[in-house]
Parts: sequence; structure tokens; C-alpha cells
Amino acid sequence: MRAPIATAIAIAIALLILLGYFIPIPLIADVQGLLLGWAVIVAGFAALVGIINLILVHWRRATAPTNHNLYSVLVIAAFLLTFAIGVWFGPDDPAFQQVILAIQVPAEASLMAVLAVTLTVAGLRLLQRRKGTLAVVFMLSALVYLLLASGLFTAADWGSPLQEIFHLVDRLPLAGARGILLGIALGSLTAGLRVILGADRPYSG
Amino acid sequence: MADLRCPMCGKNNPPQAETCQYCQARLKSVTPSPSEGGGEADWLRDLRDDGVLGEQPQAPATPAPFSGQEPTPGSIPEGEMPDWLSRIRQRTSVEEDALSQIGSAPKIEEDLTTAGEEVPDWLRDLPLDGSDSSSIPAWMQDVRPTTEESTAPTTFSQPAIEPEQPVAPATDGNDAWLQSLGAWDGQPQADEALPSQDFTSLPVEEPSLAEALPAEETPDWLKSLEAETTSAPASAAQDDQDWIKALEALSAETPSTIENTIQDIPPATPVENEHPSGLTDFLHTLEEPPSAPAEEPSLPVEASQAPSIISDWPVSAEQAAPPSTPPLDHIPSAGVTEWLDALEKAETTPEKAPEGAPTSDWLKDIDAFSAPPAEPPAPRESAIASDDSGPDWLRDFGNISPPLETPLPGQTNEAVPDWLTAFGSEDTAEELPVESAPSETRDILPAESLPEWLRAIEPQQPAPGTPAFAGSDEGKTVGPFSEEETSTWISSSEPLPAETEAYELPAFTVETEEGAIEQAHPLAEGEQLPDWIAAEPSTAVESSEENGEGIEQAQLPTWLQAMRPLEAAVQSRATSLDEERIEKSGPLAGMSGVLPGEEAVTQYRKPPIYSARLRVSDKQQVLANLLETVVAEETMTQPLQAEPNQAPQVIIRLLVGVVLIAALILSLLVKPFIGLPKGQTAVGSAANQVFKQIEELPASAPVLVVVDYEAGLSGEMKTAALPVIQHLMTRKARLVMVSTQPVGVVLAEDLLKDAATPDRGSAITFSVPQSSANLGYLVGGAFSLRELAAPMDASHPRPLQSALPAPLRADGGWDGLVLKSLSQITDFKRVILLTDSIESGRNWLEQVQPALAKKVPLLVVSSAQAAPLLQPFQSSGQVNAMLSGLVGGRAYEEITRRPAAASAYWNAYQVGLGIALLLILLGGILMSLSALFNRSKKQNQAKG
Amino acid sequence: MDIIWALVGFVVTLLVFSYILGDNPLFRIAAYIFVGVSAAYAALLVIYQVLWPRLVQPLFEGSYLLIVPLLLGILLVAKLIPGLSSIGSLSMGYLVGAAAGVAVGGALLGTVLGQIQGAINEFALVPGGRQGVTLFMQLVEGVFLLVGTVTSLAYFQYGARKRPDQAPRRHPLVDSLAQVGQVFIAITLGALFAGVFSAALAALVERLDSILQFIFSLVK
Repeated sequence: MRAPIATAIAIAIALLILLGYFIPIPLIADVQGLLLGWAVIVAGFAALVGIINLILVHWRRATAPTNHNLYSVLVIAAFLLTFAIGVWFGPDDPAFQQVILAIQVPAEASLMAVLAVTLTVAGLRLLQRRKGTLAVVFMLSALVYLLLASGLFTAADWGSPLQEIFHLVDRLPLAGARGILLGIALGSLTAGLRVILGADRPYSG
Repeated sequence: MADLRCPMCGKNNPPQAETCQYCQARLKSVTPSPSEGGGEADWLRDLRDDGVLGEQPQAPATPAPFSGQEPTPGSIPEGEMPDWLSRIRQRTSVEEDALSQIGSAPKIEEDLTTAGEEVPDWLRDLPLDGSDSSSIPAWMQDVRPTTEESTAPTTFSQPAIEPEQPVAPATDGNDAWLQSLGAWDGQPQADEALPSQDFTSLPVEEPSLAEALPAEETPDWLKSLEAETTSAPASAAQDDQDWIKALEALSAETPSTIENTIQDIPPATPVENEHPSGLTDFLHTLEEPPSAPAEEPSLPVEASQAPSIISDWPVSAEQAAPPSTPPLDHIPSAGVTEWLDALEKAETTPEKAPEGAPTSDWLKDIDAFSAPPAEPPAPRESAIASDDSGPDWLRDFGNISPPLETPLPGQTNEAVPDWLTAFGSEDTAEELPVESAPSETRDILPAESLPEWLRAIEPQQPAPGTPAFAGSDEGKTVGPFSEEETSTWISSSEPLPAETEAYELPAFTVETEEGAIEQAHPLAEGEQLPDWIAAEPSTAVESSEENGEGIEQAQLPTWLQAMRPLEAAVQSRATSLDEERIEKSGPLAGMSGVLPGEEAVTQYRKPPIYSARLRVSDKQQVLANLLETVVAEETMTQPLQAEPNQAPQVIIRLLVGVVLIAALILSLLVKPFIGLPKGQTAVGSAANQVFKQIEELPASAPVLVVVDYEAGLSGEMKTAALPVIQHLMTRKARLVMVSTQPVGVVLAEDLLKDAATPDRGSAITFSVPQSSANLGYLVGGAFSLRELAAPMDASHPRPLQSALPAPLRADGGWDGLVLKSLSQITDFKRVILLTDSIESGRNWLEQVQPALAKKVPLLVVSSAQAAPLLQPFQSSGQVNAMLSGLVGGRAYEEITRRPAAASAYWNAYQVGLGIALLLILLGGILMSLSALFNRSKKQNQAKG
Repeated sequence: MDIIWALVGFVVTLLVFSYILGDNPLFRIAAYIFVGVSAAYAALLVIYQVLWPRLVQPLFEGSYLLIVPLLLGILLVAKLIPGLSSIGSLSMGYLVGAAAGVAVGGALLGTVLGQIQGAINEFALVPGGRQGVTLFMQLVEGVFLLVGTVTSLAYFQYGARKRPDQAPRRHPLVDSLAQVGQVFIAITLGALFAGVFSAALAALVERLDSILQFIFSLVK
């Protein structure tokens, strides 16, 4: 068995936390709260480790003797500068937050804006890349719900027969979405149970 | 007996006569033998140069070609008797007395065996022990009386071989046999067709004849052979000594000679150029006379590319000492290799081949050759003692043997010499079996089909105990060089293994004795021709045929007449390449059909290089290629199919981007009025439900606002959330902001700031620092949410504070005005989730919503992208109200009558959606039309 | 100062918009800077909001039980060291176990039971309710949504029987249900596409508006 101690820890922690969901006993709730509190701290460490690893990777790429990446220098510089400003001002300072709003928000929002153009082109070539009944259904659905998303067509604006049809069409994605949600939930259940049973040990690698 | 018979007139001439005394035809070959001047074989030179028996032969100055360079029988002009034969005949008269005194072959052989150093090289390789019947060819056993016949079946593998012997006797009868024998006895021209070098069959036939025939009926040359063997001093009675021991003695005494001979062997001599028949010249004479049903190799001469020794060697090996010394370079490759390899491995020396053992058992005996035999005769023992591990040349055989390609059954491909590998590489598959056919023919010669002269000889056969060729030990297995053994490896077209690993029985065996007779009998009656005869032309037959055609019919010698049935039998297959050839020089000038011996000599061809690669059939090759292709394709990286037109795509994307951006900018600038349908703001609409939930809030009610969206969607989320936040501000709610996204903390602050900004909406008197708090970032996602939603109890009086002990921004902290009354999640009056992702929404709905227990309404303001999957939560009642996207924000603004960002973006948003709709619709139509066009085009092409 | 930050935002927006022309160094500059900034901000938040207030400070105050998460965190840092990365398996085991427990409990209580309840609620016919939809149509909606939910779930049923010399194949009934479910899922994905495009379009409009606002602010 690989990583038996880690496996034991994982199973024990999972069971104790899971008990807190179903057994309303203060002791178990306290244990669950304690373990979750520790988990939050460890998750903080994990986030920090991830960030450090990211910077180390870029450091290695920037300081590589050959073919070093200048963009990684940008990453490190931006990280150090932002971190220094944040330490200096504190993360709650509006001036520091303005750095985020002036750099991160425009960058991400612009990426999403570019996505609009990309999706338009994709919609234009939708049937070129995908053929078949499902592709046609997908395209028609996209067209219909784009019309509905425009807000120009709502069920309340039409007469009774059409209103009911529009209502049905408006709720039509609900069926598939519920199925998808249930599928996701069942998948999460399965994955969690496999970890609890020790079948999956993603931590042992 | 030594007279030369003129090939032209058929009259006898003195042996020394160069030309016929009657017709002046040349009796000796004008064309020098290819082996002369270095190319002649040692044994032949011995015959010529020395009449002293047992004189150590000289190693050939020039390596005797194993094949290809050997003269064909046709190279010797008809009418010219070989020198060796003349000398044999001369010696015969001198030694006739001794021969008559000897009387029995065993003694001759024992003498020969004990002769030691006087034994010719080739003889040393041969079994001298006549006691081993295994070394007796089957045809000789057939000659012997039935009572003496071996009961042990001799096996050999010769799948494709069928007996040949019925050809001659069945057509001419025994009388003709006898006549032909008589004629042949004094017919030197019978030897004319024999190549001077192709001698390896000599030891095969002559001893047999020497034993089988009475002295007075023995041809001259055979008598000379006997005389030679007789001249050797006889040792003590070693009747049971087999040929192997003779080999031992031979190899022990004259290894150097043999080594030299072997070294002269061209490793990969092209067998194509070899003597077609693969027979010794004088052996051809044995074939050609009618007396040869049992002796007749009658190999497929033209087709046979294997060396003549291949077919002859086994026979010679099992026979007694031939009159001359055959160079070992004519040892059949595979056969030699087999038993030589066995010699290398020899650890024990069985004196005899086990009785009833398969044919290959002789190899085992040879294995033991290096070790002294258990009860060897003294002379031989002394001879063997000189080399316990076998002669060097024998070891060399093993050392030079590369692995062959495909071993025969029961044989491995280890230690096969190169020249032997060449056999396997050559395409002699259909030829080799035929080549070995004569052996089978001899083996299975039925006693009934024996000519009378042979039957008459049988009573004169020596008693048991005579040498092997005398057939004393019939029960023993066939000797190492038996025809069967030869046939076994020759019959395989695949390379022959040098090592007979298990001495297994060949693929199929033919019993030497009764079974063989039974099998051969129908053939003896000429009911059907063997396949090999029908398939392969025989040089021997052809040569005899040519002889018959070249000479006037009336002058045909009797022995040649005796061959006519065979000629007739093979006439259909004895084609022709040489028939159209007209001899240009020599006494045969003007004659057609003469075997092209000169060409065989002069047209030297570089030995082909034979690889030791595995031979596979076409089908196997195809399958191997297929497998290789499949494997290669699996490992080959499949290049991504490049877009057929990359540049137009960039242009299309640029064009679409420009059009969309231009239209949006224009819409933002012009702001055309596009009204909001009343349905968006109806009573039952989503916006109205959210509005209702907030409208019901009491004053200064704490509201938890979860800002769980990324910066990328802050534009959309702000348009949807801003009117809600403004509504909350108007309701004087205490806004507590929290986020599970790092950037959410900043976005929350930005949202509050924008909501409170007067220019984005109507005047709102809301003090963000005093009426709101930012709890900050919840690390760990679901962990923190579960912790945040923990109920308050004695041990956790303030779970909210435990989850977020350090608010990012809170006036007075947890003891401040905003947070002071908040201990657990249910202390909030509303929980408003601003999310743009399904995961974040699920986390809140799974971890926090159950804790709310329907006490606290959960409102969701989502991005349009997450709305379809969050809608089921609203449908299930887990979410009390939900507002999504810019449309929701615009509707909410319409309801609250506070135009904000959503109203500012509304026109551009509508235009952008309209453009996207048109483009998608246009693309769909175009692609559909294109598909239809392509389909119809294909249909037309298919029809056309 | 605001104009400076507005300028920064404007430049960053233009850099990213250059991606419409394809991948280019300008876009990469913006993207790499964005990565560095967001990483620094996340690190600051973790330190300021989690490690300091929930670990370091309590430890100084005497909550020695927090040594356990501290040790787990230190072990997790060992993941950065190649030779010691296996030590971090303990911490990872702890995190995975906690996540598994939370996921199972949350999925079961929050989604599975909630959505089952939601499917049932569809048949809670309300006379005159639901925006004036008739009872019959409510029933049709309920049946339609139930069929869609079941068939969509069947689509996620990947279990198949093994048959000799045949490829694994789902049960025919499940397979036919999955075929129907595909249509529902295609409809839902079409709605999601429309939602994503709407969100992206709103983002584009917002960015264009910010550009215009910046330009107007310069003009003014």
C-alpha cells in the first residue's frame, strides 16, 4: 500500500467531517469544526506553496542559462512589486486595491471581451465544424436563448397560448441542467466515497 | 579391361591410345579438364600421379571449387577417357591378384583402416567398418540376400523424393542391364561425361560395386579400387568397426591435409555453376549404365544448384574406401556440418550406431569420434588417440558455422558454416530434394526389380562381419553419409543446420528395407514417374541422352541403349538449354546438345553473398510488414490536421471583431432607445422576485453579500448586482461583504464604491465605511463555507468570527456597529450570492444554504453564463430569487427606476446580440447550403 | 492619481485586445503581468487573512493545538523540495480527506436531495400560479422536465457490460434513454452558450465603455 499513513489520515478526516453533516452531536460538530479550521489553515499553506512554486518556476525560466524567458521576468517583477506594495500598504488599503483594479480587472475583463469576438466567429462556423442532429439542436438552442437573453422576448409579452409555449421553452434548459447537476453531484459523491474507501489516493503521488 | 572404347566407333583401344585405332577419333579430351592445372581434384591427381595405394595425397594447389566452377560432364569431350580411369585400370591389372586373394571386403576395409597414414584423405572421412549396416546404402542392402538384410528400418527424410530406379530396369529389363553392364565394363567413354572433379560420389558407388559384384564382374576401375583397399594392411578383426572409427583414424592421422582441403573450400561457392548433376564424372557412368538403378544418382542436374557432393557424400561416407581421395572440400555442406558439429560435441564414442536408430544416429556416433572408442581396434585406436577432441578441421567446421536461417526439423541452426548458409539462402528448394532422389532410389530399390546380374551377385556377398558396404550389419542404421541423411538435409530448401541437435527423425521417413521395397515397387514397374523426374531435368540423364543423340543410333553402346528408357522417360522434361547448343571445337564440333562444360568453367561468377537473415515466406513478409506498419503508425505522432485556410480565419475573426466593436462603440455613443419589454419587469419575473425579497428587508438589516465572481466578468456582474446593491443601500441594510475569490475582496469594495457613487445612479446616502464591512477572503472554498455556516453553540459562540477572525475592512471589527450582532450565518437577514460560476454557486448552495434552513432567504445574482445551471436551485426552492446577467440588471433598474450601468450598456448589448444572432444564423445557413451543395456534387460525381 | 490608474487600465485593455489579431508579445506582456499581480495579491490575502490571524497569532496567544496545522503546513512546503516531496503526502492526505468529507456531505444534502426535491416540486400544481400557466401545461412541464432530467442522467451512465468479443456497450434501455438525454443536454448547452456569449458581450461592452470613458476623461 502506498502512503499508508496519509491514507489513514485522509479516511479518518473524511469520516469525521462527514459525520458532522448527519449526526447533530455537539462533540462531533466541534470535531468537525476543528478539523475544518485546520483544513483552512493547511489550505492556506497549500495556496502559498502553489504561489511560491509558480514564482520558482518563472525564476528558473528567467534565470535559465539558455533560452531564458523574458516574460517570466515580468511575472516576477509584477509579483515582487505588487507584494511589496501590499506589504507596505496592506491589502485593505484602497490604494493597493487600485493596483488590482487597474491591472487585474482590466486584463481579465478584456480577455472575456475578446471571448465575445471568438464566440461570434465560432457561432459563424458552428455547422462547419460540427455536423449532425445534435449540432443543429445546439445551434437552434443557442439562437433561441440568445433571443431570450436579449430580453426582447419574454413570456409575459405574448398571448396565452404562446405565453405557455414560451414559458415551456424558457424552462426547457432546466431539465438538462438538473440532470447535469445531479450528474455532477453523483460524481462528487463517487469521488469522495472512493477517497473515503481508500480506492483513490491522489495524495500518494 | 583397361581398353578404351571409342565413343565414335565403339571399338576398344589400348588405354594409352590418344586416338581410336579404327576411326581416329580422339579418345581423350581435347578440352582440358577444368580442374587440371590446379583445378583438378586431389584424388584424381592421385590417381594419375601415383599408383601407389595409400600415398598421401597432396593438398590441392587450387581449391577445388565446391560448385560452380566444376566442370560439367559435358565439358569432357565424348570419347575421351579420364586419366584417372585409365590409371585405375592400369593398376587393376597389377593388383588383380591381391584382390583375388582378399576375397572379402571386410578384410580389405580393415586393412585399409589400419593403413593409417596410407589412407587417402577422402577415405579417412569414410566409415571403414563394414559391420555397421547403417552405413550401408539401402540399395546395397537390397542387393544382399534377404537373410542378411537389415531388419532395422533406415529412416530418412525425403519428402519430395520419389524413387527413380524403376526407370531403367523397368524399361530395359535385366538383360539389358547385364548387357549394358558388360558393355559399360569396358567402356571408357562412359566416363567421358564425368567431370574430373566431380568425384564425391566415387566413394559412394565404387565400394558398393566392389562388394556387390564378383571380382570377375567388377569393372576394371572398381577392381582397382578394391585392389587399393586390399593393399592396405589388414589389422585385427575389426568387423564391427564402423565408418566412424575410420573417420577418427583418418582425422587423427591426416588432419592437416583435410584442413588444407577444407580451407580451400569456397565458403559460398555459387552452386548454380556447379556441375549440374552434382555427380562425379565417373559416377555418371554408374548412373548411366542400366546397371544403375540402385546406384544411379540421376540428380536433377540442370536444376540442381547444389554441389554434387551433396547427393553423393552420404553414400560415399558409408561406403568403404574409394579408390581415390576425395578432397574434403567436396564434402556436402550440410551433411558435413552436421556430423562435424556432432564431432565437436562428442563426449562419448559409441562404437556403432544404435540399432534401429534413426538415420541421424550416425551423427551421434560421430560426436564420439574424438573420444577413444570403448573397444576400438588397436590401429584405429592409435590413430584416434592422436586427437581426442577431433581433428582441427572438424573443429573449424563448427567454428565457421554461422547460424542458419531455418533449421530442419530436429536440427538447429547453430554452427553452420558460411558456405552452408549459402545453401539455405539459395533458392534451391525445388532442386535439392530432387538431387537427393537417387539415394532414395537406391534405398528403396525393390529386390524384385534387381537385375539378374545383381541377384547373381548377392550370393557372393560377403558374410556378416564384412565391411559396412558389404552389408554385414544390416540391422544398423544407415551411416552418416547415407543417402537418407543426405536427402534429409538436401531436401530442405532452407539452410541446413550444422548441428543435428536431437537426431530426430526427418520429416518423413522411408524404411530402407521392406517398406522401402514396397514403396518402390510400383515405381520399379514404371507405373508412374517420380515427381522429381517430371519436374527436374537431370544432367545425368541429359548427358546420356545427348550421348545417344550425338552418336548414331546404330553405334550407341549397349550401356547407352540401356539408358534409353530412362531417356525416354525424362525426355519430356529434359529440355533443352543445351540441346540447341552446338559444340564449336573439339571432337564434338558440330554436335548439339553437348553439356556446356566450358561455360561452366569460364563463366566464373562471383559467389553471391548470402545473408543469414531469417527467411520468410511472402505471406509472412506481408504480415510482418503489416505489423510493422501498425506499430509504426501507433508510435507515429499524428500531425494535427491543419486548418485548410488559416489566413481567411484570421481575417474573418478580425472582420467580425471590427464589426462587433464598431457596432458596440457606435451604440454606446448614439444610445438608440431600445425599450425593455414589460415582461422583464412583471410581477412574477425574476427581477421582481429579487426586488420583493429586498424590499421586505427591515431597516438596518444585516445582509451578507457574497462577491464570488472573477474580475473578468466584473463588467456583467456589476451591471446585474449594482442595482441590487443600490436597492440594499436604499434600504439602509448593513452590508457584509465576503468572497471565496481573492479578487472578490477588491471587487466587493469596488462594487460598494460604484453603488454609492452618485453619478452611476440616483443619489444614495450610504456610508460605505460605516454601514458595510468586508470580511475578506475565505480560503479553502468549501472548507471555509462549511465553517462559516457552522451553527453557534457553547464551544463556538461566534462561528462567523472563527471563520473570519480578521475582517479585511470593518469599522470596529467584530465588535463594531456592523458586525457586533452577527455570530452565525443565520443572523443575516438575507444572503445575496453574486456569482459567475457554477462551482462557486454549488459550494454556497451545498454548504451554506442547508444551514440557512429557510430562515434566511438566499438570493442569487448570477452571470448569464451560470444562470442555466443555477436555475434548478431556484426551481427547487433552494434559491429564493435569482437575477442573472445584464438583462436582469436592466430589469432591476427598470423596477427600481434607477438607471445605472445596465441601462448604459443596454443598447450596445442589444446591438451586439443582434449582430451575433445574424452571424450565427448566416453561418448556419451558409454551412447548410455548402453541405447540400457538396452532397449533390458528390452524388453527381457518383452518377457521372 | 485616478487618471494614472485609468491609463494603466486603458493600456492593459488595449494590450489584451490585441489578441484579436492573434497571439502577440503585447498580449503576452499583459497576461504575464496579470499573473504576477494576481499571485502577489492572493499571497498577501492568504498571509494577512489566514495564516497570521488563524495560525500565528493564536499560537502566540497559546493555542498550541494549532501546531498540528502548522506541522501539516510545513510538511506541505516540503512538496517544493524534490527529495522531500513525499513527506507532503500527509498534508495532502489531510486536505483530500477533508475535501472528500465536505464534498460528500454537501453533494448529498445540497444538490442530490435538493434537486430531487426540485423535480418533485415541478408536479406541485398551483392553480393560476406560475405566471398564469394552466394546470395542464404545468403538468406537461413537470413531465417534460422529469423526462429530461432522467434521460440526462442516463446520458451520464457510463457503466457497460463486458461481452466477449464485443466492445462494452450500455444496456439498450439506458442507451436509448441516453439518446434522448443528449437532446436535452444539447438544449442546455445551447442555453449555456447563449449565456456565456451574453456575459462576454457584456464584458466587451463594459470594456469599450471604459475605454470611451477614459477617452472622454482625457478630452475633458
